Amino acid sequence: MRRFDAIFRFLRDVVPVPVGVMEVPWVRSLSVMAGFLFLFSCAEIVDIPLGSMDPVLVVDAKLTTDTASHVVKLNRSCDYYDPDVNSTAVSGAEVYVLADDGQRIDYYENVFTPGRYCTSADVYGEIGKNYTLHIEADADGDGVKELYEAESRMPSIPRIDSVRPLYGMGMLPFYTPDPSRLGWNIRIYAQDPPSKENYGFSFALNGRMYFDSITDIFCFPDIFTSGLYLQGLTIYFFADEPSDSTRMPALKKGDSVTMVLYSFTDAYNQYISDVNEAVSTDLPVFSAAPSNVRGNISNGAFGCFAVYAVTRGSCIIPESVETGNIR
Amino acid sequence: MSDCIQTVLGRCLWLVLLLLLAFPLQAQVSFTLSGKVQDNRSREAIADAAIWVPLLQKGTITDSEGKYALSLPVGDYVLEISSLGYASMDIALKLDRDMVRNFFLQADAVVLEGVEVKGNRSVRESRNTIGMVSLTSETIQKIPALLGEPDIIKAVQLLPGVLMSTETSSGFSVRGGGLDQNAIILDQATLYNPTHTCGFFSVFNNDAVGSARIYKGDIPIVYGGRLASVIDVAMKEGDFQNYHVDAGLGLLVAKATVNGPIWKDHTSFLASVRATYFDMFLPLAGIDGTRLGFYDFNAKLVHKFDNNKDRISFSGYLGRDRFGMESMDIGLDYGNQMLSLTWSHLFSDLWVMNANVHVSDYLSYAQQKTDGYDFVWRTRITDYVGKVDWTFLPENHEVRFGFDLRYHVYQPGDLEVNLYEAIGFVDSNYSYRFNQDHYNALESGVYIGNNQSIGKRLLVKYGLRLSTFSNQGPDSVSCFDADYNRTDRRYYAGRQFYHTHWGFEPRVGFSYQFDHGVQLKLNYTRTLQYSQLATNSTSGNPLDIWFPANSFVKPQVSDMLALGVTKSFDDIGLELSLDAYYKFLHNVIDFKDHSNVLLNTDLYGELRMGRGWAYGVEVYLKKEKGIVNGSLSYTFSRSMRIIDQVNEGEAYPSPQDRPHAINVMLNIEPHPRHSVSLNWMFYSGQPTTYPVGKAVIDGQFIPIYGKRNSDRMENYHRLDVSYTFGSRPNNGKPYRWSLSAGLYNAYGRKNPWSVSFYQDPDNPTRSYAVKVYLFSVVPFVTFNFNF
Repeated sequence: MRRFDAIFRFLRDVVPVPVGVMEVPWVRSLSVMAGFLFLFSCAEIVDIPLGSMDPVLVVDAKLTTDTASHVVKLNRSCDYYDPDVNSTAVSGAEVYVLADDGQRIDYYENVFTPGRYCTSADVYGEIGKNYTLHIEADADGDGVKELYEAESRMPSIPRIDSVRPLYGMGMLPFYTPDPSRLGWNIRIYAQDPPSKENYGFSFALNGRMYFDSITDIFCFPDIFTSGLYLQGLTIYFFADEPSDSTRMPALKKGDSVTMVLYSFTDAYNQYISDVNEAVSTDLPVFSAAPSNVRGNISNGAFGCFAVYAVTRGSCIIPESVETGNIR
Repeated sequence: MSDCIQTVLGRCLWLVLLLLLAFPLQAQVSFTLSGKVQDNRSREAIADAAIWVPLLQKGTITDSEGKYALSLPVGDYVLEISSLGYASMDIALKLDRDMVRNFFLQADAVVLEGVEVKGNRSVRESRNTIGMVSLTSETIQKIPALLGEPDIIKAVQLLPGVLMSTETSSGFSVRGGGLDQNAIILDQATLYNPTHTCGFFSVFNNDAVGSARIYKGDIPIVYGGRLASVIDVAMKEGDFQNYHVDAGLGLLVAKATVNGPIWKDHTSFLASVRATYFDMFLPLAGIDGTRLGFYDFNAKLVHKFDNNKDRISFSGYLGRDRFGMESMDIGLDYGNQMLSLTWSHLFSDLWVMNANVHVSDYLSYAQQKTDGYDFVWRTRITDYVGKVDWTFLPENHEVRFGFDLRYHVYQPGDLEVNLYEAIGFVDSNYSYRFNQDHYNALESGVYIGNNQSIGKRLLVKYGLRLSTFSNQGPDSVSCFDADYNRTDRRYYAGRQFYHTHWGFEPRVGFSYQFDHGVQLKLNYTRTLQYSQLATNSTSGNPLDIWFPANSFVKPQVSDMLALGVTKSFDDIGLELSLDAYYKFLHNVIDFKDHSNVLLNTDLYGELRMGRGWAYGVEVYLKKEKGIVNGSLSYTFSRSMRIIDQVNEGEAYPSPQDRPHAINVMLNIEPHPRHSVSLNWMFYSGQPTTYPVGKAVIDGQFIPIYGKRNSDRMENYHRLDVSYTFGSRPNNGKPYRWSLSAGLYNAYGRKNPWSVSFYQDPDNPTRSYAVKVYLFSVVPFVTFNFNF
C-alpha cells in the first residue's frame, strides 16, 4: 500500500512541470491559503552568511536502454555562494559499469570537458539486468583515489501503442479545463502493467528536447492507472497562446511531437523527488525541515546512478483542426 | 518505566496517603461561608475573584462559575473581595453559623484611584501555582491586536515562557514544548485546532469569553493529556437580569453577541456569532472567485435551581474555516465543534461536585468535484468524554478528586477519488478509495490532590493522577526493528483493547510566605501525553493529523522542576517575579528526514523517538492598576532534543528553541474615555537549517545542508500601538461604544517569515538568499458597540 504515499508527492511533483497543471486541486487550495498571507507579504534579497563543508564527490551518472553514448559527470561540491562552479570538475577518474552477466562498460573522460566521462556510442542497457557503477576518483584532493560504488537494476517499461493529438480544451489529469484556453492535447495510448512503476515524461518538438532536466521531468507515478489501459491520457497540453509560466511552445500544423516515456527505479524516482523538494520555495506553513537529497552512491558521495528505460511515441500535428472532447 | 522510577513513584504515593491520613478528623468549631461573586451590573459570575480574610491571612478564589466556599472559625471578620478589572470591596460580618453570602463587584473602569489590590494578590499567590495566570476578556481587550481583533491566544503569547510559533500564528510553545502540547479547553472540551485562517485568528471570540486560566507548567491534577500547558477558557454566561447586545465591526471581522434572561433569575442564555467578510475585498486585489474566511458560533444556556444548590449549564461551539475557488470547484474546510453539559451540585457548603459530559470534534476536508472526476480527503478526531470532579473544603484543606473517561476516535486520512470515462483518461469509470487506519482509544484519569495550609505561611500542594490509555481494535499495527524497518504487521480484530499504556503523574508543590511580601515556591510536575500531532511543518496547518500512542509509540512524558520567587512592592503596586525551570522530556517524537505524514499507511514508520530537555529563567514585572499599568518580561530558555537517526543522533535545538524573549506591555489610561496601549516584543530568531554547500546537477544548484537547526533566522521584534476612544463608562445611558485604531508593527520591522535560497535566473552561476516578510506597518480600526 506504500505506493499511495506518492499521491501527494505526485501532486507536488506536478506543480513545477511545464504542463500548466498549477490547477492541481491540492496544491491550489494550499497556495490559496499561502496566497492569502502573500497578499501582505514582500520579499527582498538579503545577505546571509553561510557555513562551509569539506567537498564531497557529486555524481551524475546515467545508463539507459537507448543505444547511445552514456554520460557520467563528476564534480566536487562547493560553498553555496561559490560562483566558480566550473572549477569543481573531478578529472582523471576511472569509471566503469559492470553488469551481472559480466559485461563491462567503460566511460572515458572527454578531453575537452574535464569531469565528463562517456561510453562509446553503441552501448545500451538491457531490461532486467543489474548494473554496478565503479568510480575511482580523488574528490578530496589528497592525491589518493577513493572508491565509490552504486548498484541498480534496469526497470521494465510498457510499449506505447500510439500517441495522438486532439484539439480542444486541456484534459490533463486533475486539471480543470479553462474554456478560454484551446490547444492541442497530446495523448498517450498504452497498457500500464499492474506492477508499480515510476514513470516520467518529457517531449521533443521537431527533434528538440523539452523538459528533460532533472527539475523539469514530469514525474507520473501510476497510482491511479496501475493495471489499466491508458485510453488517450493527455500528458501535455499545448495551448494556442502559450503563457510564460508554463514555458510550453505553441504547435503549428506539420510539427512533429515525440513523447518520451521513462521508467525509473525507486531510488532514482526518490532522488528526483528530493532534488525538486530541495530547489523549491520554502513556506513555513507547509514545508518540512530541509533535508539532504538521498542518493545511491556509496562512501558519502552526493548523487545518483540513474539506470532507466526509455521509450518513445510520435505524432504529426494534422492540417485541419479536430473537434476535441469538449465537456 | 524503569524500576527505579517506579520505586520513587511508589514512595511518593505513600507520602500522599500519609499526608491525607494526617487530616484533622475533628476540627475546631468552625462554619462555612460560601456563595458567589458576580458582576453588579450584568450579574455574571466572576471567576478567580479573591476572598481574603486578613485576620487569618487566609482566603480562597472563586471557581469558573464564581462560587467560593471558606471554612472559618467562629468570629468577626472583615473580608476583602477583589478581582482583576473590578473595584475591591471590604465586607464586615459575624460568622456564627454556616452562611451563604453573594457579593457584587463593580467593574473598576471608573475607579482608578485608591484601589486596594492587596487581598487579590495575596490569595492568588497562596494558591501556590507557579506560572498560573488568569485573564479576563477586559484584559485581553486592552492588547493591541492585529487587525483590531482581540484574542486570548495572542494575549497568552505575551506571557513570559510562551513563544509565538511564527508571525500571525496562533500556535505557541510553552517552556520549550511543542505546538501540540498545549491543552486548549473551552467549557471543559478540548479543541484540537485552536486557529482560524491558518492562525490569523484564534477560535476564541473574545465577546463570548468569560474568563481564562493559563497554566504554564504547574498543571493542576484535574488536567491531563498534555505536557506543557493548559488554557482553560470558560464561555461567558448570559445575564440573569437584563438583555444585552454587543456588536463589533473590524476591518475583517463582524460580530454580534446577545445575552440575557430566559427566565429571570433562573435561566440565562448567550449567543455569539462572528464571521469574516474579507472575501469581498479579494477582487480588489485581483483575486476572483475565491472563498476565504471563517465563521463561528458560541452559545450557552445556564439554569439555576431554586434550592441554590444545583446548576446546569449547556454550551456549544461551532467554527468553520472555508477556503475555495469557485472556478475550480475546489474547497478546503476545517473546524472544531463541541457540545458540553455541566451539572454543579453543592452537597453542603464543604462539598461541591461538578459533572460534565461533552463531545468534541475536529474535522478537516478538502474536495473537488468536476464532471470528469472528484476527490474528497478527510481527517477527523472525535472525543466523547465524561468526567466528575469533587471538591471538599475542610479547614486548611482544599481536596479535589475525580475521574475522567475519554473515548477518542482518530481518522487520520481518508481519500476517495472517482474518475469518469468522460475525461478520456482511463478506459472505464474508476473509483479509488484509500483509508489510513482509523484508531480508537480509551483514555482515563483518576486523581486526588490537596492544597493544605500548614500554619499561616506554608502551603503544601500534593496530588497524584493515574492515567491510562488503551488502544482498541479493530486495528493493525506495524512492528519495526531498531532501524525503523517494518518487520511485521499485526492485526487486531473485534473491539478488544489490545494495548494499554499507563502512568502515574505526581504533582507536588510548596510555597512559603516570607515577610515583606516575599514568597518562595517550589514545584514538581509530571505530565503524560498520549495523542500527538503529525506535522512536518514549523507552524502547523489544517492538513495536520492527530495520532495516538500505541504498542510502538510510547506516551510522551515531561518531568518539570520549577522554582519561583515573588516580591511585591505594595506601596507602588508593583510585583516582581522570578521563575526558573528544568524539564526532562522522555519519548520525544520527531519526524525522519523527508517524512510523509499524509495518507501514509506506515505513518508510524516516519516517526523517530528520543529525548529532550528544556530549561529557562523568566523575569516578570507587572503593575496592574494605575494610570500607567502593564508588564515587562524577559525569558532566557533553551529547548534541545536527541532523536534516533535525526541529525546523526546528535543533540539539536528544537524548533521552539529561542533563547531570548522580551515582552513589554504598557497601557496608559489618563482619562476614562481615552487609553493608549503599546506592546513591544523581541524573540531570538527561529532555528533553521541553511545550506553549507551545493552540488551542481544539470546546471541546477542543489543545496547540501549541515546540522539540523544549527542556524537562526534574524531576530524577531515589533511594536504594536493602539488608541481607544469611547463613551464614558457608566455614562447613565443604556449603551456604550468604543473606537480603536492602531498600528501593527508600527516601525515597519521586516521580520523574516521564511528564508529561501535561489539560483539567479539571469546569472545561473550565482545564488542568493531571499527573505519573505509578511507585514510592514498595518493600520487597523475597530468599532464596538453594546447596549
